Amino acid sequence: MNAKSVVFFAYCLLLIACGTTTTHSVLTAAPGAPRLGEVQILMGDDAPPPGLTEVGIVQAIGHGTNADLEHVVSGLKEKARELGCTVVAKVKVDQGSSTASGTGICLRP
Amino acid sequence: MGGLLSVTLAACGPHVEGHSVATHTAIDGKHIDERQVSLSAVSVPEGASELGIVQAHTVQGSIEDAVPEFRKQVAELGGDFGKIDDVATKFETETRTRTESYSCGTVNSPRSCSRTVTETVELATTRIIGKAYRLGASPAKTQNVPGGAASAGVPPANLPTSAPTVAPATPERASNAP
Repeated sequence: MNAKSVVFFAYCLLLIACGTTTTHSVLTAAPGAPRLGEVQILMGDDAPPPGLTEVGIVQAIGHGTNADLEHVVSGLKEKARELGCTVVAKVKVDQGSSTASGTGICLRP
Repeated sequence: MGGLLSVTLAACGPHVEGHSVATHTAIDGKHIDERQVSLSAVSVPEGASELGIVQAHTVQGSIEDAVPEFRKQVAELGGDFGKIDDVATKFETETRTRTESYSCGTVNSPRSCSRTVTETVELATTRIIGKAYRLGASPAKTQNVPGGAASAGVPPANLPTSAPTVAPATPERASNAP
């Protein structure tokens, strides 16, 4: 096995070992400015704080080792910050064997 | 069929499909362009009239692939507003067989061999379901006429429109259809 093959297999192993998380959004209204800070996650039917404005639907999809609740929720929060949201409401996470998907409604002040 | 879908997925990216069922008919039969359709996942504007149930789904895609189809289905019912009630993803595994070639010769006599590889892949189907409405119009009631509108195109439409505000104390509006 030559050096090129070793590098190639090492790269393949790295790809298999590392998962990825992709985030997606569909805007239903104008987003806010990107922000830092905490984003509140409200699961299922938990009522969001009043007075917030809907920005859109956000989705995070975790693949491989990222196909878990932690990475999906982290992806939702990251996307929410990009859109200026402080709350992601009606969050639902669907789990597969090598993929997990979470969706929620992005709300901003 | 599953094999055909797999080939389609491999060749063309996410598969997108939409369906709708009319529960009321838009009274004026006005053509609505899907780019005019605004969406909300929170509330329905005051005075909007329900036209029907709409769903769109994508296999190996995301909400960004399914929502344009959702808008299209809303427009085909004559609606200019879509309320998204639920987004869910389901997973199923599928076994695929493919033939791949590889180098099996030597430096002096290069050869190419082929082998059959069987792999199990997980397919994710993301589905959006909701209702179509016409803003500020009264529809005529129909007897659950299936709209039957199914298509697989994904037009580029993602238009930010109005911004519904969350007011948990106010119950979500039901249809004001007769």
